[in-house]
Amino acid sequence: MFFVHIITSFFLLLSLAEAGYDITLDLSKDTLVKNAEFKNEIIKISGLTNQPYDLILKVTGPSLSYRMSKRESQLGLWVKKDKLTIPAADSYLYISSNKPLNTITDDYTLHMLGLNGKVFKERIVKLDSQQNFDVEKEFCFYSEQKGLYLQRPGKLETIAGRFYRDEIPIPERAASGTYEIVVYGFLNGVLVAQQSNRFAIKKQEIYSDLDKLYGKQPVLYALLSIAIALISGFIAAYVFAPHQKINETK
Amino acid sequence: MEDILYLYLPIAEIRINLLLLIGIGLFVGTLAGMFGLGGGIIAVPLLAALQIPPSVAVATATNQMTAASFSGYLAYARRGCVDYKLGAFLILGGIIGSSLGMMILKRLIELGRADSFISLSFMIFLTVTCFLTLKDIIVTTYYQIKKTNPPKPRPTALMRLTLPIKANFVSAKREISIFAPILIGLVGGIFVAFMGIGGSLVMIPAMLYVLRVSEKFTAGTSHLQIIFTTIICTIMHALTSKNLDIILSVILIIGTVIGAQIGAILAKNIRQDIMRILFAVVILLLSINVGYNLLTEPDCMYEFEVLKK
Repeated sequence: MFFVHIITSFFLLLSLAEAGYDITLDLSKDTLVKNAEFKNEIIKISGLTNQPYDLILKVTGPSLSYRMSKRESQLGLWVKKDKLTIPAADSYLYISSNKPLNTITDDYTLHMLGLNGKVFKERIVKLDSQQNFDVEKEFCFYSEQKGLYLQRPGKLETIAGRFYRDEIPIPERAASGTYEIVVYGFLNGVLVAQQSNRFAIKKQEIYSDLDKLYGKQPVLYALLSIAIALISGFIAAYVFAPHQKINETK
Repeated sequence: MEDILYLYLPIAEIRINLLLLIGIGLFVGTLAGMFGLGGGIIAVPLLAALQIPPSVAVATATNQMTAASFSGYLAYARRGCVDYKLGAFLILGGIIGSSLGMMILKRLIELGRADSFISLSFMIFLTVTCFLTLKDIIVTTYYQIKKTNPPKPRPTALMRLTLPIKANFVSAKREISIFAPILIGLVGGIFVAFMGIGGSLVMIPAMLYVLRVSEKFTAGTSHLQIIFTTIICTIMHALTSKNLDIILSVILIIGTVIGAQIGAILAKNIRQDIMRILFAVVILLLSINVGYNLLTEPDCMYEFEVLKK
């Protein structure tokens, strides 16, 4: 088995050199369909490097805007205050590496690559940089609680120094859209290679059609919903009419 | 087999158990049918507990209320328990009130006082309603034990006011100024704008304790008013927040419309004093829930919610 693995790796390395890439990045699936069966899914990634790099894998979900509110005690009541709009933030973040991040490269490089909790694509204009940092920290904590932000240093597995693999967990609550995957290769703390790929989480046809209808014609969508509500109410009243009459005659 | 019972919600973007949703619909619908409530105030926390984003829960519950109210309205209308004239003035007041409420809300948001004002006024309102209903129960029970008829209720402040243009209302069995229901509708409308509820929690106690309307007509007339309010709110939600989940709405509606009919049948077969006690219990439980959420320190100080594109 090990012999087969070595032979396979050898040929893959040959193809890698031929293609001129430093790192390859393959996915087990490039599309996940969101429907009633969509639970916690996994996307397997694997690839080869032409040198024994230190590797960091980063996966980011579609950028979404959020509304944030903070609860404060006023007259003994816990009320929501400071409602703010976060213009754009990663809806999903997965970071893994073959070693602890701080042993691979310095803080500045990690910061520049967005590997140290920098998830806001735009800063909140109303707030200064310290307040932005605090809100970003809270947002990361919230997303971690929801299973949408995961950091797993040391989980990325390397075999024989050239072959690597990992599993990206996609939780049920992951937003639909395009997900970017980037693998960074470091040598002695310096970024020397990187490779990217992407996969999509799509809604199944009927769900996607409804979503599109809502986006393009919200009034029609609302009228459709109201019509369903009124027709259902009418049918139920019609079906139950004999029961009402029986009760009235009693 | 387990997966068959699950369905995917395209706007909430989660999968959820079908039977659980129908169960919630049935429960909310039964309460709505019995007491003339829209049910939003009960449905929204239940949906939020199922991890459905609160904004989706609010927008979808509004459409569910349309179904519950229409189903309930037809059941009461068949028995002649709807006062259309009173309903029309309540709706008129409601439209003016909700527009006025939106303007006040906008100003309060600018001042950063919206949430504290709304929470406090809602708690005071529920406490007052609860007190009035409980007082009513105690008085009724006292006279039942004494086996004498309770004294005729004194006219309320609003009734004593000499407002112009009086009209005869079938539900009140006497002449009332048309401005009285308009004023009540106006206050209810302000609550609709502030809290996103159907307004029945304001209308029903106001009809009972301020207008002294016969209990026979309150639920049906309230349902009539809620149909209009919730239709307007559904369209507003669809245009602004874009959080109305049609699949969630349809499943909830199935349970709700059946529940509303069951509720209407139950209401017919339960004595009026028992109905008042049950209504007071519902209000009391709601007050405790609202009070608990406001008075206890939350686990997490920050809340984040996805905004639709």
